[in-house]
Amino acid sequence: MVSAFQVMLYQVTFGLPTIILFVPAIATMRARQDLWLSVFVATLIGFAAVFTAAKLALRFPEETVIQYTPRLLGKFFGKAVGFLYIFTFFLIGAIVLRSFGELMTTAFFPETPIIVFLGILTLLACYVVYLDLEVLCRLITLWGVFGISFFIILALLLKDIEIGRFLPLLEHGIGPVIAEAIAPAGCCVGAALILMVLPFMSDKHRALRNGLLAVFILFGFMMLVAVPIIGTLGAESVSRYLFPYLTLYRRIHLVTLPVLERQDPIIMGIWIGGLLWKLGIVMHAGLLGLGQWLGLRSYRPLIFPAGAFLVALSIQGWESVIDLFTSLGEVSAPFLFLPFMILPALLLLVAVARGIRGKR
Amino acid sequence: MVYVFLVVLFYAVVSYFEVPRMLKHNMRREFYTFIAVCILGFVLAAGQILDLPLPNVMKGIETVVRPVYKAVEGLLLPPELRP
Amino acid sequence: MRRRLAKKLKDLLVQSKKPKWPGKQPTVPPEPAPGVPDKVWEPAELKRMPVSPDLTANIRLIKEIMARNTDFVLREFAVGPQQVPAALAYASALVERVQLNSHILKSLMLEYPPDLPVSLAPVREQVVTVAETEELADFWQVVAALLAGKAALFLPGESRALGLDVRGCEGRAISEAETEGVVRGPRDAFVENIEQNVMLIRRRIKTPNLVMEKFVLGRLTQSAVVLGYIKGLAAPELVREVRERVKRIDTDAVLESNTIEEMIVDYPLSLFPQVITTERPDRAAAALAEGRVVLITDTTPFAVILPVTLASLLQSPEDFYHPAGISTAIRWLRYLAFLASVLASPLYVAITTFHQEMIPFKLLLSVAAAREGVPLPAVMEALVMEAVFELLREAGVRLPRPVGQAVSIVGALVIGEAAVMAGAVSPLMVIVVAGAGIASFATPAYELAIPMRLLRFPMILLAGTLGLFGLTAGLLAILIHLAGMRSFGIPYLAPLAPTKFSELKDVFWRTPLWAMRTRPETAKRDWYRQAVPKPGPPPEEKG
Repeated sequence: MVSAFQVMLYQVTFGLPTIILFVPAIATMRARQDLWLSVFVATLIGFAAVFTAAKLALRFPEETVIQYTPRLLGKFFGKAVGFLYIFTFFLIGAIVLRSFGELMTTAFFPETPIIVFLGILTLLACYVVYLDLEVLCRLITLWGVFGISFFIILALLLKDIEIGRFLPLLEHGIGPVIAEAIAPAGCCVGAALILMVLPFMSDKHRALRNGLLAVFILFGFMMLVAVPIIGTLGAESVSRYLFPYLTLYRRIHLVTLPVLERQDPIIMGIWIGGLLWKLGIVMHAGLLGLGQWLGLRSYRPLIFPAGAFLVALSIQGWESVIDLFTSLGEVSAPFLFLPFMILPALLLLVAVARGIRGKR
Repeated sequence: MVYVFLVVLFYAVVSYFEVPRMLKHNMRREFYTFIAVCILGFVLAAGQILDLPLPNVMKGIETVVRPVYKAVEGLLLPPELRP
Repeated sequence: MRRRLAKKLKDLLVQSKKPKWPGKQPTVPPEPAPGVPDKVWEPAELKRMPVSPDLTANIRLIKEIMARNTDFVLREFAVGPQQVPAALAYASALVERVQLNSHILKSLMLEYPPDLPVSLAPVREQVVTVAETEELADFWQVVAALLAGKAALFLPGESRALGLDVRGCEGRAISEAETEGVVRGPRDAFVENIEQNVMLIRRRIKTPNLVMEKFVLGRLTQSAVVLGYIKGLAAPELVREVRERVKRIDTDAVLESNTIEEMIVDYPLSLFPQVITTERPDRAAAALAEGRVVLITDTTPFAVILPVTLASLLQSPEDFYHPAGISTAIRWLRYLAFLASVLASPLYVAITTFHQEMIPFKLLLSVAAAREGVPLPAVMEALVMEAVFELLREAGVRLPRPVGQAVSIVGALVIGEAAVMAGAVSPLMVIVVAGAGIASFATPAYELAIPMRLLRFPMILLAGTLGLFGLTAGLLAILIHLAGMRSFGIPYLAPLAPTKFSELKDVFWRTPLWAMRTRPETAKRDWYRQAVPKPGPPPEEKG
């Protein structure tokens, strides 16, 4: 059993690592200096997604989405939708793994083969999943304490922010702002993961409120990333960097505390943790879903083979880091709307229309 | 080739720990799923190592999603920003 | 000269050709002692042998059972003026002679009332002036009583023997705690005698709700193990679970509390301690007052406290004997030391090998200057230094005390100084390793310091191969392991993860005692611990 507070952090962790490191580069391509406006749009989309998902999940408080779709849509379509969810989780897992490996090889260890990083991260994630959801949530809470403290360092950049870099406002109208909200929104809608964890929550009545709160926290972090990035580096250069946030971090100098010249390896450490929990979240959700989809008694034996499968999938999926980035912005992020926003809305409609409710 | 051997070794180790436990508890379905996932992962890995032509799932999604994305983009972006 | 040498060599050769082992020697069966059968007495067999009304039969049997034991005494005498034969059995080393002489033998032989019939009940009720007596029905009970230091009185015509408690064991006097020193706070420590240990706790907690349940464990040692808890504070499920697990133990010897600990913990293969081991009665009493459970084992001064969390392992009893602010500062120092004990040398290795850009330029210069001419890579250097440090520590513990000092001087001054002078290791490495070593001794729980020191080695290897990434991965693995553990139902990282905000008052800082209004999670059943207002001067008088 996990508490609503833990589930909230779980939802935040699902979006945060990707938002911090990858989204700015993708989203600045066309929204330019209006990135912070895109953040608002993305948050609104996130609110909508988490609202539908929570409403749907609260109709079936003791089941996951995999379990009740066959009752809603009939055996065949229900199972198909269930498979789509499982597939989505594994897809996100592969994306997470590959982007992690690419970050490590491009930014820190150019000579080490990528498989080393993928292997180690997957093994750790398998270990977490083996210990189950409760431990995963505990780790997420613990990491939150560390992680948030390191964002405070960003306050040192306040002096570098120039308002002029945010102008002109809405240079090309509202269209590009909405178009480029898709990538950050793709991470925000992940808060719909409540569909998989609601049965394990101890105080279910808080699911909706805490889900919305999670999206709001994500909004705060997105602003914390978007504003300093555009304000200090300028939209022009941000769109050229692969990892603008890391570049931003490399600018920080602590003159009064001349112990560490650069903090980016530290932020890397924090970020590895966040990404590991994200991988753990999707692996747990995917394996739990797979187990329920096939009616297994336990998904534990599948953890390590599934980890190996994920590694193989992540290496096979994209040719290069450029391929990964374009696909993140143009394929993966829009694709996530299907399972996390469109499908829950449809399922909710069907459930209301057919008057189906889960057991209390 | 060394990598294939390593992958096989990994699966052997995992099976050594997991299979007896599954058989002891008489978990047939789990066992079949385990084998299926193992084979799937092995085929993917071996295909990657030996450069075999395998279908790429990501490309599959791409063919479906990209047109939709482009259409939405076309609606939203002003003409001077369209690629 | 040469001839002599040749002869010697020849002798040697000839000697070496001799068969090394004599042929199989005829085995001589051990001669059975005349008259006394060398019988092995099984407890089940003894339990089936009741004490018979026939005195001579009893004497014969007990002599047979205790055959060849020089410290076993069987005193036959006649009771009072009635001159009824009787026998008193005891183990001479375990009893107190004065009590035996004056309270039992004297009152039975000289002061026995003439008109009183000689049988068990009147003897017990009116003659023997011993506080604890018990009736022994079979020889298992008789033997158990004898070996526990009691005397057994056999009377004719009685199918029971009388066990008389005249225990008088020599033990160590209560002295200062060796492993958990404090500057301020009580000085007494547990000793090997369980009754004194129970006394030390009872003197601190005077409530009838303090329960001390006794178990007898160990087939051979028959050690007493006491389970202490406060009714109404400790969770009943916890007490039940501990009782069940302790009862399940069935082993030959229980000599130290570790035997109990290892057989009842949740994760027997984990490196990390899952109980608090303490020799301080004040710590045990504080744990009881927090609703925890204490296990005291006979013949060892170390008591075991359950359940445990990482935060409680990093607390020292002294935290509560100093002002809150100072305790908080010291506690944070300790936390940092705890982290440094595992992280210092891996961090040094990772940063100097992979992330030189993190080091400020001036420091980088001195690091480079220090590392110049050192033949080993930083990883190997760190591993060797850590190994040497561990060696010195272990040697310091094992050697006789006067020699131990010599070892530490030789190790620290001679080897360290010489190694640096010779350029085998860099002075910075020595500083880092020594600092980490000192930091590991600042960890209040010795059991927690050991796994941290052990984990340094894989961490150094990871840091040396994958830099900070390897270090982070190693740390994450440790963290996952810790987060996955439970100690008797309480998560190991308890107030931190899962987060209990009200519990953090004793983790991140030491809340002033008057502000610690609520009891900790382990004693949640009764919520408020005190009702003290914030202390301060009396309000000023008006007008």
